[in-house]
Amino acid sequence: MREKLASFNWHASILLAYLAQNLKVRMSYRADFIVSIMTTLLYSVVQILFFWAIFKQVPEVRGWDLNEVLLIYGFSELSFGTFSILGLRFVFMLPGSYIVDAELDRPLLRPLHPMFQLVMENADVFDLAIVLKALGIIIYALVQLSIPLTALLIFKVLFFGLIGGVIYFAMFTTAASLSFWVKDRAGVYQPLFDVNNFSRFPIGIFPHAVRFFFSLVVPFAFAAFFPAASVLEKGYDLPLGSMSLPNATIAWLCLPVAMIGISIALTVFNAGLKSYESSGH
Amino acid sequence: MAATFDIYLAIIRIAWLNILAYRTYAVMQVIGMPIVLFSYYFLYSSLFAYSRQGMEGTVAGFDMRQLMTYATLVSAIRMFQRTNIDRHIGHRVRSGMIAIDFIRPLNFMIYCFFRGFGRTLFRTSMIVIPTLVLGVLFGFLHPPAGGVTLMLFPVSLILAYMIGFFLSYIVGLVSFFVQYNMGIAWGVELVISIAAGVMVPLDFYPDAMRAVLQALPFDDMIYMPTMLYLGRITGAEALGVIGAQAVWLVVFWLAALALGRGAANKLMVQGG
Repeated sequence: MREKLASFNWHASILLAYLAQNLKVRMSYRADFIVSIMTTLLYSVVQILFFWAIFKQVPEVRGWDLNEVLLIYGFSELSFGTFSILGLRFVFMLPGSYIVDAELDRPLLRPLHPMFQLVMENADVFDLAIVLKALGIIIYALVQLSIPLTALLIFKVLFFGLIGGVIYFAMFTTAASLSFWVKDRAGVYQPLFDVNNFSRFPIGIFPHAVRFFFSLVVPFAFAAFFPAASVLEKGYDLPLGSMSLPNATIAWLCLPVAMIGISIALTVFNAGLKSYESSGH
Repeated sequence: MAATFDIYLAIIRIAWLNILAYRTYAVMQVIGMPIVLFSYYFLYSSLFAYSRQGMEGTVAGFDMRQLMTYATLVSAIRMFQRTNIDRHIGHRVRSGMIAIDFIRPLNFMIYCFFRGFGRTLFRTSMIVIPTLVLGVLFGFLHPPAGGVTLMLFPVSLILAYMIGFFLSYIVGLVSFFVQYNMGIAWGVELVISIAAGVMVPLDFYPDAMRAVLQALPFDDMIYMPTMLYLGRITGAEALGVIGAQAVWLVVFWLAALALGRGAANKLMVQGG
């Protein structure tokens, strides 16, 4: 136990040192910082205009109104933001730079686990902008819905946001790791982005098979819809064969879902490493 | 003349070979397409179910058939139109390879056009046609409205393609001034998704906002050709659409020429 703790502290201190170093590098291009804030804000303006245009047509969709959908969207962005800080650049760089260009040779020679090494090298503190933006959207939605601020609420926002980030990390890392076999610079995660765009609607608009898909196959519902449903104390039960998962408790299943997801991601990544052939430089 | 044509063919061929390295990207787009189309189907179904008139009614003036045809066609047109010349020029400027492009005994804009056209051929055969086929198989894409207006659709589509190329080219030229244009390229992409009607038809927006968006050139890139296909714009109005597209095309072309002249003087090759 003590050894594990020491190992954790060691990894954490290296991670922090890398984050500080990456921040210094990034700060030398101050214009980039402004551009990244502007694009993430513009992205959300476009998304929110989309929801707003939809809800211009009908006041509510399957019992959910615009503010409630904004809360789902806020959770989706929060999860994506916590993932982005540690994982987004890693996921984007893995297929092209690291695998096709064989930059992976270098991290493989380092003493740490390659995935940890890659995550650290590519961590981007600027993506904190996404987290702050998401918190802004969540707070706006909560105020509009006049939901009182409680300790439980704050805990839920932070907990679901972090675990949601782990779920995104697991899904995108698994997809990016497939590039160890499908050697292509573009990576294979476009369908994940497509799924992500529509995981921000109340899951009730989809037939049961699709709800099941969003919950257990590509479990983005645990990073967006279920957290919002838990805060709002509404939603749908998820039928599982003859049983059904009641809506009140379903959001907490994000924890086992995230753990299974991470195990799968690590397994696929490690298996991929075995078939990595470098490019002979 | 024949020799020049050979050069153009060669550029198209090279663009094609380059993008072949990204064929998984095309496969992923085609895998993602049913996800997008079915998501729209479920979303719009819910909209109709909860609208006052029900499934047989209309939402923002569209019935369900038209709305799904719109969603399919808009995705296909956007794919058809994306030449990624903005990214291409940005990449060449950053890597310094742009110097080689300027040495070529060939107009840079024309080179870029055929470069983009090579990509369009690739995207059309690998992504656009599969998307349309899937749209028909799923029952989302319905045949066009008939009549003279339909003859205007291909014309409108070509004009839209050219406007899209010049916009991409202009965003590419911006990298001569700012060194890094990816942020701007991404920003323009986001504006297009709203203002060209990619996410939802412009009819979903309130009148004032729609009037502003229709005064901009983006609706002529995707929304208007799709309206012609659906037969929602006909007669003299349809001719007006073609006219507006032609005007925007000339404006963009002149802007590209002017910016191109300024950019060449501004060029600073890094490393190279």
